[in-house]
Amino acid sequence: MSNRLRCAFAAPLVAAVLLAGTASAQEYPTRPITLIVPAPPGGGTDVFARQIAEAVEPFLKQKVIVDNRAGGGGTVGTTVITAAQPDGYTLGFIWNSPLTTSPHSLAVSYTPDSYASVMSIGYSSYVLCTAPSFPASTAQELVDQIKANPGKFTYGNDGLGGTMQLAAERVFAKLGAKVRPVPFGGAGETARNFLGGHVTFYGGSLPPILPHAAAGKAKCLLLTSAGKNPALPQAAGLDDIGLGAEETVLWWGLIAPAKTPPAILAKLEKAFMEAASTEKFKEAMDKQGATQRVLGAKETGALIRSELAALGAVAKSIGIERKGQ
Amino acid sequence: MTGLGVSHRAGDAAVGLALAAGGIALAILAWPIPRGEIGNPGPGFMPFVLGLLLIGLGLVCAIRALREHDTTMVVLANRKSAVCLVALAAAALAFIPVGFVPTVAVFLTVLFGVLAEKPWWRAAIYGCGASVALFVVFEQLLGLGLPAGIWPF
Amino acid sequence: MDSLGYLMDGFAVALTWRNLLLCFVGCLWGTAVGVLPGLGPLAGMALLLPLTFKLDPTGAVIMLAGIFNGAMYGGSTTSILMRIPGEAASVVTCIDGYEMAKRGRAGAALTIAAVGSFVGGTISIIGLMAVGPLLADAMLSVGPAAEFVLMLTALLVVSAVSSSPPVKTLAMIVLGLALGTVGLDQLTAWPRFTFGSLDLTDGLNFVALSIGLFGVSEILLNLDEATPVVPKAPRLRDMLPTAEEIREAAPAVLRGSGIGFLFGLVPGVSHIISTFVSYAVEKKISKTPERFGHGAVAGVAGPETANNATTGASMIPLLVLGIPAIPATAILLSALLIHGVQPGPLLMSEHPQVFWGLIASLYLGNAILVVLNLPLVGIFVSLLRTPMGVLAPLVLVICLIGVYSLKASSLDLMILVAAGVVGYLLRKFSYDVAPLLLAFVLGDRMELSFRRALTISDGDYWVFVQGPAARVFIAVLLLIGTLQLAAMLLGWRRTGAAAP
Repeated sequence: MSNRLRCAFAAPLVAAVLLAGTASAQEYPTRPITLIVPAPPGGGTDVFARQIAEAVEPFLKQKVIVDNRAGGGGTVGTTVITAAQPDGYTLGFIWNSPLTTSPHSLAVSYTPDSYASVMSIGYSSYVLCTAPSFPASTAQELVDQIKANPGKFTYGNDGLGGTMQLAAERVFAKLGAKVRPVPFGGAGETARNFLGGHVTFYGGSLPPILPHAAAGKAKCLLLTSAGKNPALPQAAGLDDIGLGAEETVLWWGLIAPAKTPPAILAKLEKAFMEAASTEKFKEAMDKQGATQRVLGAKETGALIRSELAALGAVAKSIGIERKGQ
Repeated sequence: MTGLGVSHRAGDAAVGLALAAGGIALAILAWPIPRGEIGNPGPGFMPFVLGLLLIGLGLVCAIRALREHDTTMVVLANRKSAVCLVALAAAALAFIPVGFVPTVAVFLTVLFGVLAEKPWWRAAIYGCGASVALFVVFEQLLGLGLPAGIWPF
Repeated sequence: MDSLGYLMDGFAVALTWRNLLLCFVGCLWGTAVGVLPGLGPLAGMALLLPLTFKLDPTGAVIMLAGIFNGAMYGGSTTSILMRIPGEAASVVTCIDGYEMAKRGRAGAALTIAAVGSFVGGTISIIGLMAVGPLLADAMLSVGPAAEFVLMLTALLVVSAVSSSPPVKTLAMIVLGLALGTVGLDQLTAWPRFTFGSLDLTDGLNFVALSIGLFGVSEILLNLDEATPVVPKAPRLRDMLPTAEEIREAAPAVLRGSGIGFLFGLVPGVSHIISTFVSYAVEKKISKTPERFGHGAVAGVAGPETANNATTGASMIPLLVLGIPAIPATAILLSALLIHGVQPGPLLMSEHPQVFWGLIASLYLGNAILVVLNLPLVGIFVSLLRTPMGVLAPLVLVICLIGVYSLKASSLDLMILVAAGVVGYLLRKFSYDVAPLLLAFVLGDRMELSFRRALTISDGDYWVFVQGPAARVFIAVLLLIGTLQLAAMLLGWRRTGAAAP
């Protein structure tokens, strides 16, 4: 909020009015850029947004100002981004949930045609963990246990219809297994209930469970990414159980309003990809347990569409789809 | 004490009935939401039950009020509180589209004039001055970000 | 003692000029955002979070913890002076704090709140050091079922001491619970009563609701009176509490410390529960319960102390388990994660300078805050010299700013006005709005833990009486229920005059 205005202060008003009309893509950007983040300050998405904003400034030679617009699981801010002036001065730094998950349960006003995907920076996997006493010590044994006891176990997740739950259900559906989902307010709450023994499995992002895995209070066995994660070497990727195609992860990227001029989009894509590829940014991602994987506009767009379709099918199969409400 | 008044008995009963009406609205709105079953309540279960409870409690409150025969007059609004409420509602509506400084300048001018009974020209000076001062404090010193609206600076 | 040695090392870290300055800046900023209605610790910490990226992890947490503490201190100021809750934790303080101000005891109320906060804060840090890990384990045993029973108990405790007639209190609780159901249902992602508005998927805004119900309604009520009873600015020698007030406050402060510390472990809603429970306890055991709602000193001292004791206790799940139990500690967590420091069972051994530096800075922060706040009492109280006709419009503008600054939402501003009108009408007919707010905050979590517990047990209702935690809470619930019922049947119930 604060920064929308500061931006107006920073740029001399007259110059901005004159230039906004005439500036061509070669000159872009001539004034500070607002990066809308549909998450509250302090979360993972916000942290990456602020770091990428800082990292990209030398490449764009302009200030990039972060503007948090939290609400509705990211859908409020995403709506603001898609409705912004397509002049390249309002961009959105998002995580995948408001784009590929929320549209299945909320009546959002945007579709993949309402925004242009610019690039994405990388991902973080979700993980399934069990108590140390659970009779499984590999991913395959875990799968066998789940298959042998349909409906007996419970797993905590970040909320029904959320990306984490759909990621897990996508795998369970392929396995033909039934595990009862118990939704919590976030991975921290899930971890607390898992450690207290109230649910069988922890399902959520890595950071909250890593210290407990290190202290021997949790056995983390299966990731929702195709590959393995160096932070949890004992956990198998989906490739290891032959389900690599069902990968669903948490990823972050940059979008712009749909009608932003292609030349500006190309310039942004290049600048942000360079910024995200720096060693310093990789380190920043490592610290949050995320993996750097810089993708361009094309790959990011394709990822959004395929993920939207796959998660839509999962949402339908577990009966949370509520389109047109 | 002049202004719009009502007897305590009638007002109290009306509030009880309003609560019951709120309960009816809640129950009706909650009806289409799946209520699930007793061992697995759905999203509509709690709102519907609460709606029913509110109807009951609202009616009890209303009946008790009618039985009490408390005929003291209760002032519901006088000139000052009515002006204050209307001005606040208008300011809340105009806050974002019109912007902080003009909205607050007008709001404060009106209220200084009516509530503090200042002459209009002085109310206007104080109102405009205070709105700019508040803007400077919150926007520049605290960096909160107030709506700019139609106001260019 | 081993940890004493560590603590000394911690003080060595916290007492460097840089860290001391960061602690001071944090406390100052925290007090400022705490005083402003609408801006609570969460917003205050979030606004300065980007700044901490440039600091080392110890400096970052020291500053953020300072803001957290400072906001909790400052929150009571507007509650006492203007009946506007700075945040959820100071809702209760509005009741008797404002009544004290009306009687010219604003200075005493603010002083008691500041000193009580200091005592509560310090006791809870000692508790954190002494039994932190133990309590963290106890916290883990509270699953969804026990959480539900606990919140139900809290609601009943509070309704038992409300100043309005029982039926009206119940109606307010149900109304609060009903308002709490607005928004996206977390268990099924079903949008309830949102009417297609994405803004409403997060539910009604608590800050807008509470400022409207308490603050705006109070101003409207005052305008109705021919000669409104507004807080009086006391003379200078009336600024400090009298000996009698201190005698009344001291035991309440001690009880508040204990209650605040224990309830600091309730996830999500710890501050509001601990303050309400402290108020209820003070009123129940008081020899003069009829004074509650009319400026009882213990009604300010207890909850204000509990509030800050909760802050220290809420650090336990973060530091010991690496799991934030309330949103404000979630920001502390992300500040640590940015620097690659992962709190949790290994924090003490892996990053002792962070852990002990933070603990030591919490002690220092409390001392800084009490020194900072006592002189401020005089300044704040002098605000009351402003005539009502000038003060009220300015307060309304600050309410608008506070609500706007949260989400820049025009809907929230409308909620503020509507809540003001509703609160005004309810209070005219002696409905107490405090239980409504408590129910609103608890409602969402209560429903979720109820349904979660049934999901886990696969529809078996016995889950609510299983496990040690649930049983303890059930026993308390039954005890209170029986006493309450007996009191009602025998007509012992004391109903004080309703709040105006």
